[in-house]
Amino acid sequence: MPIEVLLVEDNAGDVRLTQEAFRVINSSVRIHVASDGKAAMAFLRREGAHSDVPRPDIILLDLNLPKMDGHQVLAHVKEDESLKLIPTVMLTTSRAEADVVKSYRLHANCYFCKPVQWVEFEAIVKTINDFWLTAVRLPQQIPA
Amino acid sequence: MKTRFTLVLRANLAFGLATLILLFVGAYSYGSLGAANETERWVRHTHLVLETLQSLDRDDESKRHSVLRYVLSNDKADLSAIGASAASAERNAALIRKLTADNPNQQQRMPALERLLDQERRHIQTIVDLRQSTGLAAVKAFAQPGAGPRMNHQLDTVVGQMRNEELRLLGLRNALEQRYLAQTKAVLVVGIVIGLLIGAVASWSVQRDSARRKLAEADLLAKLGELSRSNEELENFTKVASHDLQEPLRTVGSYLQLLSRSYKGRLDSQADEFIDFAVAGAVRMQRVIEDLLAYAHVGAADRILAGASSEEAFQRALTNLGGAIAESGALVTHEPLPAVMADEMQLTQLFQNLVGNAIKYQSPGIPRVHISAAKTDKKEWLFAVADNGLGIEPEYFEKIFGVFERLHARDEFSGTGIGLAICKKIVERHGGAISVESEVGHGSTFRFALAATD
Repeated sequence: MPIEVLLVEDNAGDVRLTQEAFRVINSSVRIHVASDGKAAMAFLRREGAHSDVPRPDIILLDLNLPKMDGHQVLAHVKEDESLKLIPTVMLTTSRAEADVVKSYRLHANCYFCKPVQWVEFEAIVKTINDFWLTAVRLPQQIPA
Repeated sequence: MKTRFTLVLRANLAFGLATLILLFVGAYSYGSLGAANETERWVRHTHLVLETLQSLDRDDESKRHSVLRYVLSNDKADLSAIGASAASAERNAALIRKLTADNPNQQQRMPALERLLDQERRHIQTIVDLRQSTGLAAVKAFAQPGAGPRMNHQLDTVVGQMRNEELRLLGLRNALEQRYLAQTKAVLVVGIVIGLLIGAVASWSVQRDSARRKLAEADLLAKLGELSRSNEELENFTKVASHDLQEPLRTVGSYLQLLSRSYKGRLDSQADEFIDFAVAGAVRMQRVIEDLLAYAHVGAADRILAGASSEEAFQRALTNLGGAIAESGALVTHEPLPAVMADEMQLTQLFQNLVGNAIKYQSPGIPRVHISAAKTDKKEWLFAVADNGLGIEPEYFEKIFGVFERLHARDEFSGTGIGLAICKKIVERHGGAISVESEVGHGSTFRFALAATD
């Protein structure tokens, strides 16, 4: 059974890097990309063209996004009785303390800063895979 | 500040001057009215003297009439009328002597007046005696023609002189009273006008000053607005730097590494070396950006200084430096550290940078760092971070606290040259100063002062 990951990321370079990292680490991961906040919400609510998309097992969320930023997406996800069950992992360039605090206040499940070095980036993706997609038990029967 | 000071000074000056004028006007009016009152009393006195003189004159007149009547009628009633008029005349003369006791001119005339009255009394007595003992004919024989009117005329002359003297005095005293009243009026008017003028000038000055102050306040508000705008801009810049600048950098670095990994062996060794340099450049640039952000951050937000435990801040710094300490095998010792007025996060950063430097800039051997604090007499704690490291030459003591100032080549010691600049900014934001003492080859001691909590 494939693992569904929603990657909310507007930088094509980072999208490619993430895909590359998962390709090496866990080939059963299927990455769905939303390149802005609105698209992410449409995907999660299966609106419009997204009516047939699977429910993601985990959300990787960037902060700096067009249309609706990462904090707004996070707030919407955690306000939704069903969507709030999906682990939401912040993966962003920002090291600002205010961004970290605000994310956790909005109930982000964890917060990663994107590193410069490829090796470090790969290590973070591996950590996410080993922890959220392997070690932890997530709810199996999702209420509609 | 300067305009405020002069305003207060000017207001006090105006108030003082107005008070002085008021006091002067009050005292002068009081004195002047008192003098006018006194003069008025003397005027009444003079009137009294004049009235008494007139009574005396009347008494004399009626006495003479009574004598004439008695001589003709030999009536007892006329005789007693003579006595009454004479007694009244003498009483009035005595009263005049008393009333004019202050006036030597009148006193000089008094003996003449009294002598004339006495002469007259004796003359009348003779007439009365003659009339009683001998009869009307004897009186006619005694009374030489003109003797009575002559005496009468002399008395009138003296009384007239005395009246003239009193009239003269009355004129003088009236004039004096008028002068006092006129002077009082003038002083009051002038005083009030000057007081009003001072009040007007003071109020105008205060108004002008308050207008100026309003302008200054508006100016200050505008500057505060500018400052807050520039702070916003700085915040925006911080955001741009932390995201928009780092993101492309990360892309460059990551893809270079990905490239090197994926194509290792398929490119030659020189290509791998080039890629390494490019990656090192990207990594370094990111560190510079991070340090610059940290430097900007020290001054950006309004830090509230509260009692903070420097011991806790120091321990947190040691935890953050855990890797570097373990790697270098450094011995970090410290004395009990006090509570100070500080932002604890920044205090942690300060210790971290100073201890981090002490460990980093080391000669071969075990790095030793010792932290201590001593209370000064200025309610401050003077902290010292001493190491046994490379040391710094005196000519660089100031320079090392500048932004991007480095004393070593990059391949010798890593670092962006911002660490000590951040330390300096933190200490200065706390109202203190940081300095260094050092001997090349023996180590350095960084000292900084922070306010005590009590």
